Amino acid sequence: MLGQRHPKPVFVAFKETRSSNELLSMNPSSNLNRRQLLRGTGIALSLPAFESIASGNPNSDKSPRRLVCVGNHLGFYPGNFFPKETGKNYLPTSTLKPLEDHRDELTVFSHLDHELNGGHKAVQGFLTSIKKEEAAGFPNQNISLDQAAAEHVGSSTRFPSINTGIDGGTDMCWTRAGVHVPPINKPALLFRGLFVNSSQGEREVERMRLKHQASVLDALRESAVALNRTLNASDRDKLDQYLTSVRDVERRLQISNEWLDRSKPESPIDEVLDEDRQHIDEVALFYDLIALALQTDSTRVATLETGLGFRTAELDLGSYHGLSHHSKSEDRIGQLQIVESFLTTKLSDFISRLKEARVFDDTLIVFGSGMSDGSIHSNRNLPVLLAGGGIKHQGHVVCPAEQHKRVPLSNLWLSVLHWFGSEADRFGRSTGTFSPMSIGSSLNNG
Amino acid sequence: MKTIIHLAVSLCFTTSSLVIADETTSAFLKKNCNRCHGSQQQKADRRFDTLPNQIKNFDDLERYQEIVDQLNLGSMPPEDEPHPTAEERTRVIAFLTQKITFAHSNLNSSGGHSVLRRLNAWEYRQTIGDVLGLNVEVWDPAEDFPAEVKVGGFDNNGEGLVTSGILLNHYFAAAEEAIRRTTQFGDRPTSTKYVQKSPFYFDGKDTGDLPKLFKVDRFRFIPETPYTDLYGRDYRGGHIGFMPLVREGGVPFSGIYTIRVRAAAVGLTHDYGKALGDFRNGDPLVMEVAAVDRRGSVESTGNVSKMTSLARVELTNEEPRWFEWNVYMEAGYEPEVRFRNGPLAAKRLVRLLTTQAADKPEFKPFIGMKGSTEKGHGVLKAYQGPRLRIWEIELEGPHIETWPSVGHRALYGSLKPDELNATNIQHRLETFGKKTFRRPPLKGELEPIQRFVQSKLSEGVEPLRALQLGCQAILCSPGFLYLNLGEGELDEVALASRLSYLLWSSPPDETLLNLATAGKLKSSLPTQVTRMLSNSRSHRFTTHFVRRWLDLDNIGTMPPSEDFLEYYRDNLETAMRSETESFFRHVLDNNLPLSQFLDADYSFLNRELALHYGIEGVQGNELQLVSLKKSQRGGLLGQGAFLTASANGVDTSPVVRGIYVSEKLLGYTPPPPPPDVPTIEPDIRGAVSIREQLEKHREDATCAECHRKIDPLGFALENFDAIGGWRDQYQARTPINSAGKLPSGDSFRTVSEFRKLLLDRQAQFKRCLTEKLMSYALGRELEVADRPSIDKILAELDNKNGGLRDLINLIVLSEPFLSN
Repeated sequence: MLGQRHPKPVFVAFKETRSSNELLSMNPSSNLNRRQLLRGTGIALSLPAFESIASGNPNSDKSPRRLVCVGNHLGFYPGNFFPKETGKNYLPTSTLKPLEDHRDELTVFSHLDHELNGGHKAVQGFLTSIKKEEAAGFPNQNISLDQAAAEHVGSSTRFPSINTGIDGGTDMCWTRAGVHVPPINKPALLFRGLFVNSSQGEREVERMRLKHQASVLDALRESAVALNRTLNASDRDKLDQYLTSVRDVERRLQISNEWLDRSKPESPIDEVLDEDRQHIDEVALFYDLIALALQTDSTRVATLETGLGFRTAELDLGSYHGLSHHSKSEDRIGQLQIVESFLTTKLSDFISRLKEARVFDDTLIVFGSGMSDGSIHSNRNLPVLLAGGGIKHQGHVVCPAEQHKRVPLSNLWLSVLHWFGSEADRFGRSTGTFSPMSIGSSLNNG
Repeated sequence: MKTIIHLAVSLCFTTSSLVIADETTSAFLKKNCNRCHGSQQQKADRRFDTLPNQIKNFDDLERYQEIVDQLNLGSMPPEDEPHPTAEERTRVIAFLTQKITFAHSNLNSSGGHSVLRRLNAWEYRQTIGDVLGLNVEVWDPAEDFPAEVKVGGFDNNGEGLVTSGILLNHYFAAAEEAIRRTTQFGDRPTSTKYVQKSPFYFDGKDTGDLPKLFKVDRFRFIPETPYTDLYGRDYRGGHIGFMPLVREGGVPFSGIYTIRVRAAAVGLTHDYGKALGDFRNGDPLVMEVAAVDRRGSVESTGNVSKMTSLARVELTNEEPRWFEWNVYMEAGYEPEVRFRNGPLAAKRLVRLLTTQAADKPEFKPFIGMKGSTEKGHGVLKAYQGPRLRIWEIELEGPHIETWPSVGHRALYGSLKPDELNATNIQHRLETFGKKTFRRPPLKGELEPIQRFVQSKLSEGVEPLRALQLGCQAILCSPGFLYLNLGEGELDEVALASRLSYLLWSSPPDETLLNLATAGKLKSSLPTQVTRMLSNSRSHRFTTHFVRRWLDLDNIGTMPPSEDFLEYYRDNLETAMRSETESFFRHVLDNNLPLSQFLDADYSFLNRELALHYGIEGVQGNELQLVSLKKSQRGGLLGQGAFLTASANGVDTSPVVRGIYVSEKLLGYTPPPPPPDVPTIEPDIRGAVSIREQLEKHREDATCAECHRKIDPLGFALENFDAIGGWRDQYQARTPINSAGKLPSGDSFRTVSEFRKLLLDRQAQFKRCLTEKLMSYALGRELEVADRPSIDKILAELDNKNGGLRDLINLIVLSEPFLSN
């Protein structure tokens, strides 16, 4: 299946979720895959609405598109996350309640996932759809949504992406080479990167270092070529990875060179200092810094991860991991609810912040987890919501739950990438796009 | 993924004996297997009626191999089906084994070749340490490297090890820092002695820039005695810094230092009851000496940005005694002394003493007093409980044996910076290249780097800097980063590398390379294995192999719930990891039979771990050999690390444990569950037990197929909680039933009975451990084509009634190890 060339993606825009679902369930015994089914019915298909942005080059946009991905390791208790009702008029669940102010600008999805198994070990597939162990079998390995978007941004901003997290995060972001991108977990470090200019002297040292490194890379390439001549085919493939890495570093050097002498924007807030903070305060602080980074166009892609070690004791609760194993205990589910509402409250504050900064309509936020119910370590029916981006939000979209009709979450990710401006024709395990809110209506796809 | 499927190679079986064998096998399969794995049904997705008599490809081979495995295990046919006679079974196993062996030699395998393998982060760290003579225990050059992908649990699999731009950037930074640390052009540092006597806290205007721990506060006062008492736990009021170095920014040079502390332990027994929390009356007091780096630290972290524990000692002496250690300290670090098992944070101690021990006359004056300096100091002065008493701390060093160091000479020889010139720089690069590549550099491998240095020199870069840039480049070049072992039979130099990366995780030393260059390594392998295993570097093999084999990192990434108080109080993680490592080491050093891993009636415990296991009478914090004769425990199955790594820190699951036992001890990885199976929902409300749930789960035939093999292995361990403590009940007070029945029909009621059944299957375990060791040694997954070599090793091991050390030797002498 992997070797096949995928046809050009088709954009699916559901006008009204409920009716689409009815259409989808018309032929439950069919062996057709979901995509064929959609095509076959011919009803759910329609071309995306064009958006009123003229230029085809996102780099020259006055208001560029931005993507923020937020992931939590231990999932969200499904009973408190997913609304019972479909569509725009859902009643908010306790986890979604803090987002009420923004309900018209977000969509919650049910029954999306990557069909992964493995509990904790599969959470790292949230933005990739592929476990790292399986990465080698995919053309772009297990690249994550944010990194795919970052590649698209290239050197247009100082930082192709800003990846943050509390503590060690949850292994959410991965490069095309299948390598984990560890999150920055020190707010002060991020602040310095964003706003503090290095001195003339430091810049000169850095310039020399970059210059030396560029010629070292040439030498290393030649050395590798000499070794390469003595190797068999499979060993050569391995050494090719090395050569690719050399090219990758060269590309980074170039970006560093380009940005070395450009001064950084001035910070509208006081310097964030290196001090010991509560995890709960760090969440808010990282959101603020991300908002500033987007506002100043220092980056267009940002992520925030909260992991297994998130200190729920700061909310006067039991250990997070312990709580997530709620085993249906009402007390533990109640405590979990407090953590989860805390996380959605901070998201809600972040959205308000972006609205104030007038970047919300150009920023799409992906929020969720690679786990659903921690107590059963399930990686199915993931809690996922999208916010912002100036798209037609649909409230609660319920996707088909039956095995052969399920929508791969990668399809949604692919649509997100298209919204962002990428022309990728697939992402991870995608079989097409998925865009009940017409988010696939990118500039490039007419 | 395990086996690469090859195009069919047609073979002809002509001999009549093989024809008879084929007929017998077909009849056997038809009679015993095909009803469930034939044209009508394909349980577990297996179909055997279409299996050709001739093994044409690896797919066929694997299917036949699986049949043999299942027959060997006695798991098939299921017990409620008619069984073949033992004789029939044995005969078919023999036929099939022969058939498979024959097919092996005829099928062209990609196997046998470990793909060009990058040093993994662990090996990189040891390699930098050994090549440059750096202490990489304290400074880990690979600390920030991306985590390695593991294949079958091992992180040295050439296929799985990826190289990326991110990693290459890390290599640049690590190489630069390694060279900076190695360079020692200055004069040989002289040894200095620093002395600090009680009092260790200060008052007044001089204390302005001092970290908090030096300052008098509500819980710290300047004593009138010639000693200072520590009351709190660890850094919460139970630590003292080292004034002579705090303003100097730590010791000026890295190296070995002597630390002496004059100390005593008083008040070991107390009658404050619960006011002292979980402190066990009468326990020795643990004094820890640590090296801390305060640079760039902030107050809320205790003014420590990095720290290494240097030594711990248990004190019971009431009279002062000197304690002395020789320890490695990094430049910039300073010593700190801590009361590791202090009962409580000092602040909390004061509060609890004046509430829960309020009836004690000594605290009377302070009851009802608001939190104040007077109260804090008063209560602590009156307190008679456990106190770590310190008189004096001394630090002396560095003690430098060789100057400049081995690493410095590897970089610069005996040249001074102003003696470096274009000619001798080229020579240095050659020498360094040869050393770091572990083999003579190929033509064209080193020259580009030499030319690069030449061009830097002509650009006007100063010679020292140019040479350093060249050495950095060498440490980032593929010749250094990849183990290039060639193809076919290993040449002696390649063999030296394979051997040293197996047993030391680092490059061959001079002895190995000299033997290899003289062509004498292969003929002296057993001697070399013995020599290498007696070198302290071999602990890298034992710790790293055990860590990967048993997935001990699970313990760190899934930290146990804070509800397990004793886990943290008693530092059980370290103790249990060390237990399993020491146990492996013991079996290796004494060349004991592999069955010890299943049924040894002893282990290595300290007092805390023994108490965790319910064993009384063990003294001291050091691991020691303890008999388990009166315990339910024995072998790996009863070890804390095994039981914790197979849980998730919060609760246990028979399924997860069962898969773990199956993978780690029996070498069988059950297939992943089919999509959309009903999940098993833990429920502590007591309504449904996990056993009932799993029984229900097994009513579904597709689930039952695997779960009847998995679940019993996990149920056997149900009496152990998520950190390996014994339990008779679940949280909901329902009793635990650890009985089960193996697929063969053998049943057990307790973990001890299960252990006996496992011992009956020790052949399976030996094969499993042999395969794991072989896979680790080769840096690749084993293929069906390796089976004959494994069979041969196992046969020889059985022949000589051999132990673990024999097994290592057999692996090193085996064909897969000697070729690539």
